[in-house]
Amino acid sequence: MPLPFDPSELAKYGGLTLVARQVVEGYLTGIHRSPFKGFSVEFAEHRQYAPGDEIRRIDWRTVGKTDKYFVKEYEEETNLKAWLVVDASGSMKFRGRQKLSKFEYTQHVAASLAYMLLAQLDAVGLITHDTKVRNVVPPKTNAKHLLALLRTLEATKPTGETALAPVWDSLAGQFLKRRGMVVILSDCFDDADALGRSLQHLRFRNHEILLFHILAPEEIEFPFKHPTKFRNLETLGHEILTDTRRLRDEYLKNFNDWRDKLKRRAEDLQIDYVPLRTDEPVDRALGHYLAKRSLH
Amino acid sequence: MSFLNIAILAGLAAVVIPPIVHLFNRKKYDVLDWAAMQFLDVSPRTRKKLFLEHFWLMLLRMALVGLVVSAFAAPTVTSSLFNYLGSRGERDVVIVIDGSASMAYRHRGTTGTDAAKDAARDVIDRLRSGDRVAIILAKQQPQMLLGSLTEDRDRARNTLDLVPVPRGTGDLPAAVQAAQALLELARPDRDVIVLTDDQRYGWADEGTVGKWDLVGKVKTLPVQTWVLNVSPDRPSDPANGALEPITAGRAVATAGLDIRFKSAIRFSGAGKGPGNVKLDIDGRPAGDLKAEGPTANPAPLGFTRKFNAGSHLVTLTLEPDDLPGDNRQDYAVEVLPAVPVLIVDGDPNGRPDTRGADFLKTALAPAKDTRPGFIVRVINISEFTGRSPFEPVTPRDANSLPRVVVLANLAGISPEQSTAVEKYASEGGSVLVAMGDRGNPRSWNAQAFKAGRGWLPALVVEPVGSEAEITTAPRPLPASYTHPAFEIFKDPLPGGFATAYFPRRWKLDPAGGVNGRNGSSGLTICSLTTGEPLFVERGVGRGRVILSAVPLDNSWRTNLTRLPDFIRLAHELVYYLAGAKAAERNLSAGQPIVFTPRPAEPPAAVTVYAPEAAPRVLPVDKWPLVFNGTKDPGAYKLVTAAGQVQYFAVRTDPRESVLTPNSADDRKKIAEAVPGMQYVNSLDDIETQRGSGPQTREIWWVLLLIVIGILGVEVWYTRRLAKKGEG
Repeated sequence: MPLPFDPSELAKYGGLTLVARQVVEGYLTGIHRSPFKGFSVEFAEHRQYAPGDEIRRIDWRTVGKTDKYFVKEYEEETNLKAWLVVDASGSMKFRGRQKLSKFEYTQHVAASLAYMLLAQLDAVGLITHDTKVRNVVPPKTNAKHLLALLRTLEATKPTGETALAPVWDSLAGQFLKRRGMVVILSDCFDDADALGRSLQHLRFRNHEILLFHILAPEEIEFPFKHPTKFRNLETLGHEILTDTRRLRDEYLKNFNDWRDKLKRRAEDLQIDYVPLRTDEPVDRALGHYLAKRSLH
Repeated sequence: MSFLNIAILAGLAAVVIPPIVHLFNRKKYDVLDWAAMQFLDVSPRTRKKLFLEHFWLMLLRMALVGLVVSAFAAPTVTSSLFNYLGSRGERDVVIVIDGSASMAYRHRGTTGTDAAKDAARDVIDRLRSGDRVAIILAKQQPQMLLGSLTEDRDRARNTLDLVPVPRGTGDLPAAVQAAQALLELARPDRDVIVLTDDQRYGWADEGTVGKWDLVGKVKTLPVQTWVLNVSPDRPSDPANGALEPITAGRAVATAGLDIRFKSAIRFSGAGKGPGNVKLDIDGRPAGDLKAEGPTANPAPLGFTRKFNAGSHLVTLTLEPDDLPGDNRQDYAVEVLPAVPVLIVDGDPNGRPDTRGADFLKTALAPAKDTRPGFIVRVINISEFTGRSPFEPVTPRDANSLPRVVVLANLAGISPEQSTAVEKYASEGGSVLVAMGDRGNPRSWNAQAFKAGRGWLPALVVEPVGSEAEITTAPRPLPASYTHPAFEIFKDPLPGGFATAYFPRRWKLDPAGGVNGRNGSSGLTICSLTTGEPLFVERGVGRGRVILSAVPLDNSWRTNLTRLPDFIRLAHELVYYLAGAKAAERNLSAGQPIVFTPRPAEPPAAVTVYAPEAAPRVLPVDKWPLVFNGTKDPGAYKLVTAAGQVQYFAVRTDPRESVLTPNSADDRKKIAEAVPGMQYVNSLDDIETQRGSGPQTREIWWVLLLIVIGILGVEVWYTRRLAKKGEG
């Protein structure tokens, strides 16, 4: 019986390239269809159906009107423009008892997605930010672009405070004007209502948005049993000393209410909300999502 | 509520341990760099709830510590609340039997002691299996008949056969205290049962009330004390005759001289009058006596006897009646061949028969008297050393150690001489100091008075009066002749002591400059008509010292030495002082016998004959022999290995003959003084009243139950909090 593959182990031996390659080639090759194919492109014209065309591209409305089979033709049919928006704020440094911090986990997910998208000849760009935009790598399709993306990702260190909503607002108005796919990778530690409004802003730009909500299991379960002094990863000097046992109920209520609200807002905006735990192997988590998505 | 071990309450300081532990734990915490800070901001309500949870938990733990400490301090509560909760398990009982002479009163054929023994047997019969019992006899000192608590009821019953015929007085408070001490480590259900005859004397008289107060103040474990009158039918004023203690004119006598003895018959109750009294000398019949005044009550008795040198016992016995304990009186008298006296004259160069001290010598031992009552040696102050009081007056007679030392008209006294005199007096010798014209008050006060801490009875102030003022000179005040040495001068006679005048004398101040904390003042035993002290006395150790304000000679133009009573005065003073040692032969119950044979013998066994007891042979390693077994009144005869006999008399307390019962107020007063004391009319009452009414009980077990309860709550609460935390 083969040993379960844990891509995070590879982080010890090589950069994100190797990780992304292993994730994608090792686990996603079983998926017959690209989950991103025919995605977010401009309609150009109809043409007569010819054998070999994909059945799903037949325009059934035209068939109903004309009794002839027409296929929709699109501009940039094979060139999806995807932006990876990576949260590099201080809160992403949290590692807990896991091998990967939230940011490292985000790096793996982002690298894997970039690798996969570029393999499909889609254009992939990268934006890293904390309270401000830190790096912007414009979308390109060539294979060498992956190296630029991964280098940028590797060079990024999480720091600074999180105020996600204003940053995402500015992204919508500044870098993400043209329609495309926006993949947000963040712990979303901000006010859920404000985040909802920012996501709505992005949605108004007709982007398809994937929100990868990356959390550590400690943040989800709050398993602490001893009195603990919590030091804010983002704000120096902000500390809370508390009896974790007694606080747990209140914490979980606050946390779940916030997450549920964020999830509801995302669903309302037809945004793919993808919760990821840092104790779950990247390939498995990503594979589940992509497999599910490819069925739609 | 009160606490038996109140000092343990200091441990209540330990209640601060939980808060300290809490504060200490607050210092112990994990540190975690954390991202999701926004969810840690709890609501004020939750914050208040968390605070209250910790607060209540801490209060619980503080209460636990406080209750445990309080339980160890043995709290007691006087209330009926705990009666039904109190232990009714195995029981410990101490029976206290009144051993005083009044318990021997025979009424309707039964004595109080017989009734007490019956009641004690009844108590023992009623004990359940596992109950324990001890028995104490209340004598002058508590006598442990069965001195440890035992479950062996047969042994306890047999012990009752050992109860002796009651004699003397009984110290019931001491016996009850001894019973409480015996129950100190006993079971929670403990009782003291006092079986007495309800006589007021020994229970509620003035002296005993104070003792009960002390018993009540001693913190002991709560004990129920039941008092049962075993002679409820005894008349309050029964017919009874009692002999008063014998007194002698002189405690020390010389052989061949008359000694006058006095006593009296006190009778009470209808139809009782003074009967004949039997006289025994040294245990052999010596005739019958009749009261001198048959109608008087008490009817006085007086008789005179001569003795050979040695120790003698005088015994008077009344005809038997219902109360035998007061029908006999004993008196031990010491008769010397002659009383050895050492006189120290203040003139360092004085020649015999020209010194002032020779007046005293002549008065005591006239030159022409072939058998004087005193052997007198006069030495000059220059011959007086630290060894002088301890050297025989007659060099060839080792038994002629001075019984009295007279310091006649000394200028002062050296530290060595003063130390020797103090040692001599403290060992039972007596000293007469006669101040005269040589006196230096500074020396006397510094070396002998020492602000009341020395052996001189009074501060020597200054000479007062003028030798020219004979007509106005003060005389002895007859009203002050109450002292045994001066009683003889009560009747005024021509040429009597009262006609002496003292134009010049020393001013003495018994209380002058006495250091209140350590010093003590002497007692004026004879005053002058001016109110000035003439003779002042104080006890020093086992001896006596008398200070005279005048020289006992013809100086300062006094007429004292020309008076016929000068001889009597000299005799009485010296006999009185020589009698200091005689007090050691007539003792109170419980007072130890201290015996050194005279003439001296090497240490060897001494046989002790105690009243109504088998003779006991006591080994002696060195003299003196100290014998403590004098709890019973009567005659004690000590016989040395060489056959020397010495009598001692332990005196009967005449108040024991007064059979007046306690009044209701008396009983109430004592019950109030001793917590947990109740009077009952029968043993059935004890069974009925045990467990009813307010009773003092230990409640440490209640506190421990509460502790267990709180502990349970604490565990439940802690687990609940932990579960909530985990849930």
